[in-house]
Amino acid sequence: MERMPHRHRGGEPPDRSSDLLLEIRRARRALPAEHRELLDELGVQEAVMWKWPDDVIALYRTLGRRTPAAARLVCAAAVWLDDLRTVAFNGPYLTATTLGLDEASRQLALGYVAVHEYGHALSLRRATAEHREDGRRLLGLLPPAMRDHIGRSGYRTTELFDEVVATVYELMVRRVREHGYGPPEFLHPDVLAAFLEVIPWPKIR
Amino acid sequence: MSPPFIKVFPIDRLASGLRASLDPEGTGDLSPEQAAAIAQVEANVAALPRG
Repeated sequence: MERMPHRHRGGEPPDRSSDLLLEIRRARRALPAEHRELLDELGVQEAVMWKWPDDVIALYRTLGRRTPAAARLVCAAAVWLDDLRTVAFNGPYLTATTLGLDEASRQLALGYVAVHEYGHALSLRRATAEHREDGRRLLGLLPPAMRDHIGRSGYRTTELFDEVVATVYELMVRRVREHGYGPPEFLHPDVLAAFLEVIPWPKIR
Repeated sequence: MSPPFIKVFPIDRLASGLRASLDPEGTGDLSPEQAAAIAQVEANVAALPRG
């Protein structure tokens, strides 16, 4: 469900912007049905913005809200705007970053960003302070490449739990087509248990 | 009024995130197509204009 208008700004060819939105919508449609329903219930929206970060800031101003700092937005591929329940995607950056990729790789890259952000939308609504206190321990239990990826991203301790969940969420969603809903064997039981506490994952609850 | 709570996905974390998702255990077990795609993303990100 998308109620936000998306705009063609900054000379971006309409076909590229439409493609980007289509890929993001495809990623949302590919989520488990229960998650799509939950995102709908939460009112989660997405918007591709072409004048970045000005469009994000303008959205807050239009609503009479305090704006996020532009410095936090400038190097973002996407941002989950919690109080607006909106994922804002950086159209120019995502377009440039996926140049030269074949169709499957482009879908993979854009789907990665989109599903990670939908993972935030789900976990941030359901995770508690107690969950977040366990973020650093859970990070240490992740498989090496996932642990290094999050560990080197400079997140604060209080952000780690949500990053662990969103990262595991993308992995689990991407694996469904080939492996079904069962968790990968390399996922530590404590990580899986924490994931299942905040994500209503099908069939293995 | 406090600043809004936001979660930022930095563009320069995209390639490592893709690699971590496709090869979570870091064994290097990527297909040539996957490795090429990640390399292309890395090159594209490196070429981005920075504000």
